[in-house]
Amino acid sequence: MNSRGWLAIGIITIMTSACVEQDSQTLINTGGLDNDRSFNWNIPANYPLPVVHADNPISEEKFQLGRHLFYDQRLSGPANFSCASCHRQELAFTDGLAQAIGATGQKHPRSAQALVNIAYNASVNWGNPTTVTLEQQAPIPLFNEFPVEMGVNDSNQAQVLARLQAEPRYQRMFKAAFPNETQPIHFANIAKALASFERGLNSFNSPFDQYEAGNQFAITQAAKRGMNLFFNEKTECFHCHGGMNFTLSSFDRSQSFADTEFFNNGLYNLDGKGKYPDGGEGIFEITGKPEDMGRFRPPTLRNIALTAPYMHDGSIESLDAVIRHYMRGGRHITTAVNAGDGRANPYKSGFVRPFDLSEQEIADLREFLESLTDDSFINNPRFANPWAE
Amino acid sequence: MRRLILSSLLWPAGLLAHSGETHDNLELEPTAQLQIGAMFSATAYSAQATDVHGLWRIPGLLMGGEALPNAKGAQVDDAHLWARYQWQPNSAVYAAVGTHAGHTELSLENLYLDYQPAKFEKLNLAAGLMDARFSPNASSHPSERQFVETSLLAEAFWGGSIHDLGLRLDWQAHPQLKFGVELHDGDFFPASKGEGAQVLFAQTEQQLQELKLKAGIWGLQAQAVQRGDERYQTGHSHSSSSFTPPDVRFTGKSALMGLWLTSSLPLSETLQAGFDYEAVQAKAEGELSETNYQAAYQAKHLGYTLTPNLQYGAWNLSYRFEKLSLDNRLIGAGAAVLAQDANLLNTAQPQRQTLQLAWQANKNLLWRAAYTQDDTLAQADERFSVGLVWQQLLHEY
Ligand code: HEC
Ligand code: HEC
Repeated sequence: MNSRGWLAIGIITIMTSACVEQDSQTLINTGGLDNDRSFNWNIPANYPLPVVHADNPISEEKFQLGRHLFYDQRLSGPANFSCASCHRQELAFTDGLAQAIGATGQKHPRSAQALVNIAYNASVNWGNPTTVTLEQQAPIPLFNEFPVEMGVNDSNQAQVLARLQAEPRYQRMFKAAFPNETQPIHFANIAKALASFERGLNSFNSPFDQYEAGNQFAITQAAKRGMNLFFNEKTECFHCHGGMNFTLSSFDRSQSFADTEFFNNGLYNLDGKGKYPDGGEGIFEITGKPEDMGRFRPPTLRNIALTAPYMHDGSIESLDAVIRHYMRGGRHITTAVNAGDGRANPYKSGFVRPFDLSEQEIADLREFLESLTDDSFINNPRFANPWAE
Repeated sequence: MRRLILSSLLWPAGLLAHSGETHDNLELEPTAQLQIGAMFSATAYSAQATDVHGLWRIPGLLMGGEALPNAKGAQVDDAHLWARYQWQPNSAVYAAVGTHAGHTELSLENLYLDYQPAKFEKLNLAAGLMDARFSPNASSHPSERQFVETSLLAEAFWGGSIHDLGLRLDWQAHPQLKFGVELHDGDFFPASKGEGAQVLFAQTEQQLQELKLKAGIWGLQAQAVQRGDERYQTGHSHSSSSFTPPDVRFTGKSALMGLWLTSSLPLSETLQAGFDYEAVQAKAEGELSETNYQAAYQAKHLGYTLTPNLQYGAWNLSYRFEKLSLDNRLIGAGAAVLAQDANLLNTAQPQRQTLQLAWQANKNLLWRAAYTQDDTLAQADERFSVGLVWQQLLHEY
């Protein structure tokens, strides 16, 4: 009886133990979201893709249509101006001016932004927490009145559409991009196509990227020293310009929500209480909160050597001057216009504080920033003017 | 001679005495009105199981609660003072204060009321701050169990030991069969405070000639909202490590099922063989999240503990084999990041083996020495320990 009891226990244990073993494993499924790698993103496989909104799935047809529109002067009111007038490929899609000039000659209070990896931007524009998608942004330069950029308005928009209707390429391309629509040539689709083109403008092939990928010789020794300075608590650059896009304000498919980040980096202090010049007050213009005065999105530093002059108003002319700006912990303006001590701006981020660098170190840091220039990006025929072909 | 600690204490109290905690070894007078006792365990360890950061985070497992390894060196595993006051034949109150591993502060461990309705003698109700009793491993103190180290099952699946605000209803359906329900507030892993946990169990006690057998099956479900691994988060200083693991949170349901048995058989006048076993399946379903990331999470974890032992006079030699297998699935955009941050990437089956020799010096004092081969972390680890256990009935009236 006893032995039978033991036998029973033995059998139970063996049976259940056999059932209580399996392979240990952790399976990861990123939701099948990665399968539209079939689109030519110019994004290496080891980087997550940017988010694409469900109402505007990416396609090569939309990208190509957007590219044609981006380079088409007929899209502007006076038919003399295109997006590319202010966003030039050879300058990483900036214009080289401190402040942009629109189709009617009006000066924009801001500097034209580089269009580099903007698909990842957590918010769009220099300082705007409310515009978060490229689809929302595209109509702005088209219809903007203060200042006028492309100069499209109520009285000429039918004319603008008629110009596009008349172009045989567009007849074909709009149909291909929006196959389910019978009348696809309208502004909502123009915005979608422009946004799709912009999403494809990705740059991940700078010497720095090649160095990251394992090519020890892709960047100079000076750039390597500069890199160490950049990713260092002394300069704090990486705090705001960190991550794969050299900006905190980056959002991709592996993240569940976007951090829209804005900082005041001590450019101005007109009244001693933190005031920035009118038209350049950062997200304060939208939120009206005093602490938001002068807060802007940290821009990507990819291709930064191509996009001078710098800052939202183009008020710093060179990379050397930008580095010296941060070394002083802000900018002290003593001349009459915009005079004030930005170093003492009460809303300045705590990460912007004075530090010392030798002349050699300044040169090293600049050389590192220059190693972020991606020649294949500015020379990529895929991003070039299609009307010239 | 009555054994103090060994295996007898592994038995859920309710089966032996109709209710109350497991102090039967002290030959308590069932009619006594007031009993006060103390118990204490101290051990010295040659090493501590830790990963490269100095933490005990088993790869593949979301851990929590009080699942902490013993520190290297000598430490008080636990020290407890308990009292049981019975003012009517069918009502008693039980209280215990104590310290446990790594903590020096005294805390209230138990305070509950035990009540047997006069009309339904087969029912027993307990309410208050109490230990879970659905399995011998559900809740135990080093000073009342066979091995000083908490079983791996308990560490992995319910954060070491469960004592929580709750309610337990037992029904002695038959002299050899008992059913019970436990409702807990949820202040223990894998639940989160206030979200609740519910247990159902059935236990039986059999005597087949010389062979004594107790066995039970149980099921537990628990809810959690934003449950983090509190063991190593800032403010909770369980390690000297400066590394704080990423704060990954779990929201969802856990469902656990277990089966256990303990048995003993006299082989001769002085020699007795024993065998204890428990197997558990723990499933979890919900969501993992971190500041910026989230992913759906499903886990099926299995584990078991096998403990053969031999008792010779005052000597007891026991061996414990413990093994886990951990299957996790993460689905969603944040899956890769979260799997990494939650330390889930793993293909190993964590296991641990312990060989222990214990000697009952007298009725109140027990010595134990153990060797443990610990393969719960990526890096295997071995340690020795020597310790003593003291239990005393201080007052009985
Ligand atoms: C007059 C020059 C000008 C023209 C023409 C122009 N832009 Fe811009 N663009 C700017 C300026 C200036 C900004 C920064 C605006 C701001 O932040 O307030 C900007 C910003 C942007 C941004 C935001 C980039 C980022 O990093 O957030 C996008 C996208 C953009 N433009 C796309 C376009 C498109 C598409 C067109 C054509 C429809 C266009 N732009 C036409 C000057 C121009
Ligand atoms: C507190 C966050 C912060 C830190 C730290 C910081 N930056 Fe910036 N950076 C910004 C913001 C915000 C802007 C845009 C400000 C504006 O336009 O008014 C900016 C602008 C720039 C620009 C001009 C970009 C353009 O497109 O015009 C460069 C270059 C730059 N930073 C480099 C650096 C370097 C180098 C460091 C380290 C020495 C650094 N930043 C540290 C937030 C920061």
